[in-house]
Order: sequence, then C-alpha cells, then structure tokens
Amino acid sequence: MDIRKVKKLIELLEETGVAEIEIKEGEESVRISRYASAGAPPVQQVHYAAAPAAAASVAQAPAAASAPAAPAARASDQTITAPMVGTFYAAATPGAKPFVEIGSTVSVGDTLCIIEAMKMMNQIESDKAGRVVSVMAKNGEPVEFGQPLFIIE
Amino acid sequence: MQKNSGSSDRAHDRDMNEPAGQNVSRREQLLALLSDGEMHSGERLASQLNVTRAAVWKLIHGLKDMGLMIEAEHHGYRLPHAMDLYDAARLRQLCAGYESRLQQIDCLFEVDSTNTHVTSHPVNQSGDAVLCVAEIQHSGRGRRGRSWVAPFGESICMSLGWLFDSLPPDFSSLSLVVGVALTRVLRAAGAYDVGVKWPNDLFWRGRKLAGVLIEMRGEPDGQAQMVIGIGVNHRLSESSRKQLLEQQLLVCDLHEILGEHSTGRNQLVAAITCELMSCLKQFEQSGFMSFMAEWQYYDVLASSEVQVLQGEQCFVGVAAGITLDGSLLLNTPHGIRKFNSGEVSLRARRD
Repeated sequence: MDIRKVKKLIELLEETGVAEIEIKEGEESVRISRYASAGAPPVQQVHYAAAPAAAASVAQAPAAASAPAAPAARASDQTITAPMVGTFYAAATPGAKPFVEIGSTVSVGDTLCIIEAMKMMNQIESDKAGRVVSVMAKNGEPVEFGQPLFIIE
Repeated sequence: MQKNSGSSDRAHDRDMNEPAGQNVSRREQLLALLSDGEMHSGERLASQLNVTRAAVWKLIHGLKDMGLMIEAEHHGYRLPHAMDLYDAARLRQLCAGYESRLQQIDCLFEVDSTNTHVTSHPVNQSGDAVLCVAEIQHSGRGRRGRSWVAPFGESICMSLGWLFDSLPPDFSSLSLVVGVALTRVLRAAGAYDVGVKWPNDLFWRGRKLAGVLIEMRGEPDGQAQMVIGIGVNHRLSESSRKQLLEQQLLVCDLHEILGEHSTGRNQLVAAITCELMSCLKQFEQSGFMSFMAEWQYYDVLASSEVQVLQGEQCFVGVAAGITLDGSLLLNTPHGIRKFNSGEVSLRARRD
C-alpha cells in the first residue's frame, strides 16, 4: 500500500476524531487506531494479511468510551472509493472550480470528480446524498482501485 | 450546445419557424451553392435564393465573420476550394449495414463541442449510436481543457455516442481500440504511414493528424454512456498552421497526405462511424485482447526514448509496448514502469 495513502488515513483520523480505521485493498489491509488518551499521537499498526476480497471496505471500530460523542455519530460516514485506476481530477478543467469541496452538499448523481485512464474521462457520480466532510485524493495524482476519495455524511 | 441546426435526419430538430431559423437556412443554402468552389455572381445567387443582392452581400459577410474565406471579385463570390458539406441523409446512406443502428445523425453548422451535443442526446438502446458532426466547433475540448478549435472546413469534428449495457472490466483500453479503428480507416483512405501514439493520438511521419477524447458516465444500473470525440485535421489554413507551430505543435492534414483526390468528408465520417461501431461491438464481446497485436503494429513510439508527464512528475525511458489492459510500459533506469495515464512525448533526439 502506498505510504501516502497511509499518511492520508492518519490525517483523516486526526481530523475527524475517529478512533480506529481499517482499510482492505486486495491482499493488503491497514488498520490505524488512536489511543483514547488526549494529546497522544496516533499510533499506527500496519499489517499485511491475505484477504481474498477485492473490494475495498472501511470498517470503523466503535469509539473508545472516553472519546467524545462525535465519533459515534460519524459511524454513518460514507466513503466513496475509486471505481477504477487512473488520475484523479477535482475539476472539469485545470484552474476551474472543483466539482465538490469540503462542506459541499451533494445529491445522488452529482459529479464528484473525474478519473482519467488512457485519455478516457470518467465522471464519478455520487451514489450518496449528504455533505462532503473529506476529500482524500489530490488533484492530478494517481489513484488506485478502491482508494477512498471522499467521505460524505 | 447546439447553436443552429444544420441537416438532421430527425425532422423535429429543425427550427425553421423562427425568423433566425430562416436566416440560418438561407445561409446554408448560400453555402451549398458556393460549395462547388466555382465563381457565382451576386445577381445569380440573389435569384437562386430569392433575395435581394444586398441580402446576399449581408449573408456573405455573415459567413466571412464566421471565419470562412470567401473571395469576392467583381464577377461574384467563391470559396477557395470545393467543399463537401455534411449531409445527414447522405451520411446515413453511406453507413450501409449500420444505418438502422444510428439512432440519430446531427449535422450542425456550428457547435460549442460535438461531445457536449452528444452527451445531451444519450443513446437509448445498446448497440445503437448517436452521431454528430459540425462544420465549425467553437470550443472543442482536448485533454484536460486544452482546446480543439476547428475553423470552418479545416477539420473533421465528430462525436459518436455509445451505450454499454455493462462495462467490460478492462474498459479503459477502449481508448486504444478507438485508435485502432481510426488508423484502419485512414490507412484504407490512403494515409499508409499513419500510426498511433499511446493511447490514441494519430500521427503521420512524426506529425499529429488526429486526436481523440472519450468521456463517459456510468449509470447506477451498470450501464455506461460513452461519448467518443474525434478530430481529424482535414485541410488546415496557413494561419491555423502558423498558430499551431507557434505552440510548437507539429501537425499535418489529410489534404497534404492524400492531395486533391482525398476522400470526401461525408465518406470519411461514415467510414469512421461504421468502423467504430464494428470495433465497439467486438470489444464488448472479446475485450482488448483481440486488438492488442494490431495496436502494437501501429505503435509509433515503440523502442523510442520518451517522457511521460504525470501530474508534476516526469518519467523518462524507452517505450516498451503495452500491457493486456492497454497500459503503457516504460523501460526506465529503475526498472519497468506501467502507466495508465499521463502525457507521453518523444524526447528530442540528441544526434
């Protein structure tokens, strides 16, 4: 798994206050969890396990008892993952306004981003309605199949 | 967005009732009369169009404002050369064997982008296609917002809409299949040295002849609408060539390759349409595998030193063909790298 992706996950954990996050991608999986004690840096445990499932999934462990109530509410967070390998574009054209930003409200069917592979521009639509709370891919950078792109709440 | 409707084989697409529509049709009638490239006197044009000579003058100026080179002499008016104007009925006839699968053919006089037009006219049934061609494209799109502007008659601008019932797993390689289809048609038309630069730009002796931009949108039920936009340089004007050269773009056009006897635009568009429809069908059934060897035969980059720009990163190496899913292989000093996106260009030779 790309180290940048792990970094993104750590950042996400810090931003949202989620206690633990686990991502499976093909045969690889990574689980990152934070201690409940305030101020302690997030600790990451990376382990590679043989997982037959090809589809990516994000599992969130229940928030630790001492953690604030917010993480529990965030259990309904919904992640949009990349349906294909390619280059991620946040906007229709370079310099244009991104399709969505943190805080944007989206409906089902709204375009979230474009993923390009072999000069084929694939408009990725939201299959969820809600508010964008996280944009996890960077404009112009390659994304892998199943990589989390957005979290919509 | 459709600005003015040209010929369309769906009657309700016409907007003849408005006064503007009448002007449009006069303008198109005038153009049709001039399209033989011969000299036409203002008087005769006026009587043929049933308008005054002043009205003809006005229409001519309208066309000139749109970028048409019309020579005006005291004998009358003429285009610098004969033009094969798009004709929906003729296109349908030329698409023999596929005519019943063409849901719609729109020949527009001017359009922002043929891809946008087809996107707003989705295909209803898989196996069918929607075709759009335009004489003038104002804001055609290349990759990532680069423009593909087509002044009157200089390029072939076409888009084909296609519906996949369910996307094949290696659907990105469709991009390369389009390159194969175009190469076949242009070689058959006489441009024998045409080859393909990964993934699907068409090159002739080191200069760009045609470009492709595919846009797609998946539906929740698994269907996917695909819009394949194609631009082929047909007969570039000196000023267009100069502009492109200033941007350090090496281009060529069909006219310089094939000369005066080049295939008419209607014929070429029909040939591309049929070839695409046949290849799309084959791709749906057997995937990219059955096109791979042919693509590699047309590969103009093979064994050349190239650079691949991906985001802000630049990779240098020797092009080493493609993978089964159509990705580009690059032999770099740090081993083989695989690319499924990026801008590839030949490195300047040091010799």
